[in-house]
Amino acid sequence: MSLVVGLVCVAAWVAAGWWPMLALAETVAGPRWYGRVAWACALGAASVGLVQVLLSACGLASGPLAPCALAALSLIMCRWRRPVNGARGRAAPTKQEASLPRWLAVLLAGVALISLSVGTGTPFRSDGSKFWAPKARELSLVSAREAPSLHDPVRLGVHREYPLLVPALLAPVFALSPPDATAGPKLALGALGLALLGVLSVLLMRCGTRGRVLLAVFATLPLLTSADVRESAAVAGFVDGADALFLLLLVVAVEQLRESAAPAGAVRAGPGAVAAHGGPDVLPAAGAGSRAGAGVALAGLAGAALVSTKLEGAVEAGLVFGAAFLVGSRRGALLVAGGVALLLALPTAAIAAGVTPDASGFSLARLAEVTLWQARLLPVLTGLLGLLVDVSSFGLLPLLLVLLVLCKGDASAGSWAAIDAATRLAARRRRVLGLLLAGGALGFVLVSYLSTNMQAERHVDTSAHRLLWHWLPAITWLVARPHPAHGADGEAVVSA
Amino acid sequence: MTLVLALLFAAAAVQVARQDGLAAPAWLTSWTARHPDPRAFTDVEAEALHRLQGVARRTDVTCLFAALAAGCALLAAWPALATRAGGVRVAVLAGGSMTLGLVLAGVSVTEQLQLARAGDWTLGDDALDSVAGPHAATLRAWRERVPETDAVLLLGTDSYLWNVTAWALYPRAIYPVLHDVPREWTDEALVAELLPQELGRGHGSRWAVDLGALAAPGDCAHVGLLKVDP
Repeated sequence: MSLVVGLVCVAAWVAAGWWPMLALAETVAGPRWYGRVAWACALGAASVGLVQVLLSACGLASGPLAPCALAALSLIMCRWRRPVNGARGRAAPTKQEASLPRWLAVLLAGVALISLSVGTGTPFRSDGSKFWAPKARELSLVSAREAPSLHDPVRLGVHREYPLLVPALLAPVFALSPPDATAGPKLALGALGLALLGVLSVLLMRCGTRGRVLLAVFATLPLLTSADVRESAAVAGFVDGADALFLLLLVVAVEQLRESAAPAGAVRAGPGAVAAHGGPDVLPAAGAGSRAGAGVALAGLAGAALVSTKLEGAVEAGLVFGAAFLVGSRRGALLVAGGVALLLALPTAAIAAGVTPDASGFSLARLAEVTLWQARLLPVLTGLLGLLVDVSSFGLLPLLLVLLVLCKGDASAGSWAAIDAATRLAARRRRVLGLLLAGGALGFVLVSYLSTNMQAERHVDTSAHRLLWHWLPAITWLVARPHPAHGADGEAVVSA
Repeated sequence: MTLVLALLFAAAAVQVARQDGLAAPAWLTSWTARHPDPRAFTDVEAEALHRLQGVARRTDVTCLFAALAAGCALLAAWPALATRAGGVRVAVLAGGSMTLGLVLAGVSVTEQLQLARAGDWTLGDDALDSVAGPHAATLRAWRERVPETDAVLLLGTDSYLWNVTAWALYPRAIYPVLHDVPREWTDEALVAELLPQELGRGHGSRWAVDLGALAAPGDCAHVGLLKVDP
């Protein structure tokens, strides 16, 4: 019963996200069914989650009405108001997309099955059972304005100020499931993990050899299939997979915006070649104008969903918008996208402002103490560096990414000369964007662990790998995108 | 050359795997001893954390050497992999990581089968046995006794039992009391301690759940669940 409810809920997300996928990301989602379903699931979850949070902030319990209504609306829109991108029909499959190797398809399907199985078959554990699942259960009965655990200071309630998008998404499944069932909610949570894998697959398959290699490595990350509570992305029922998904969508949207500012004189050289903006053909069929509009809407939606998923999501969204703004292209559009994200995240802010405040987990004022730096800097840095060899969670992917970043600048002078100045500038901006994101993320976690009110070494041990998990898909995609002097598959770059 | 490296990495993996745990580097231990964290640990807590970290470090280093050995072995067996993957180093890291991931995925399948046999993996509608393990039957019985409109004062500090008890007794109002109840206290002594307190009033009757008595019912002079208000 619960499993069926979970399946129906995921189907509702996909239906609710289908029209947004067609309107905002049809060309990015590509022609393959798995890419379209993954993007629809991601955008549907973001839309449904934000609406549920809004309704909860207005005093309504998070029942099945919102996902069903949004799904119906989306299907009606698909029937009566086909988006502009969709009116041109599906984008033709590129060379890379058409040639998904059979072994890679089997690998992805196998990993998806094992990951879903280990996540769905095991109950919520750790933080999942401590506060994420209880919040979802509570929201299925009452709104966030009335939830006793959020407002009664003496009642059991953990992390009252945490954003409620994922609990609000899971609430209808709890509402329609028997009291002790966990399979349905865990299935819905697992679907978000599969959406992440699907979205990343589509993106990486457009990045040539490097993308295919990184996709194979990513798909075999131990934490996707591990049954160990601490090291699994699926078993414990955390919401970090959703955070990673929305962060990836936001980075893609920001890149989409940046690429919509590509010079008009540069054209694609053909299948497998690199677009003139210094990246692969992320949006192979859409025009610059529609790309910019879709990019703004997509960035706004993904940014709001990210802010509404985890507390650190707000910082992550700020980092992405801030880095893109500093890099310098499409600043006006970025400001609009940031404004849209803030607007859509207002219900989350309103709920957080209304709950009984918890004791602060961090004391930034203590950063002025020299003894604190002496005591914590070295253990925190070594703890964070240790993530590079957290092989039981991330395999050798972090080391591989570092290796590829270090190898990225080895284009020969001759190949650089073949690229026009605008392309070189775009490529440099992309590199700076990546560095700003990496530096910002590192700075954020460093400051967090230095100023934590927990024992720093223990705090790093319990949560740092989850923070890295948030960034890993987006970083993998950014690193996979080929250098303009190389071309997607090592082919020469041609510009008009 | 790659075959030799594969053998060396494999030997290193076996060597590390034999150890109970890997200690942190001496310079780091010495530094943290000289500059203790402002949020101090008790010796017991610190020892527990370092033991867990040592085991995790051993697992990671074993996996690292094993993955590198697998990557080198793959390259030795199939040299064309380097060309197809975009370089020797990329091939070693990617091949090793994929091999390790596939092996661990297989381990996950085996573990899931074992969990299913033990009743800890289920797609069914009743996951309480899986959630609460040996305490499931007790919690079911308590749920039958406590009306949903009543309040429960949850006494104890065991976080695992906290989570499973709160899960099982939902949607009753739960009020935490973060103290361990002395084992020698009788039912009357516990009720006498809780009765004057205001915590949890306004929900009909109040009940007390002692997690210590739930964990070890035979060791306590009081029962795990008792009614506080007459």
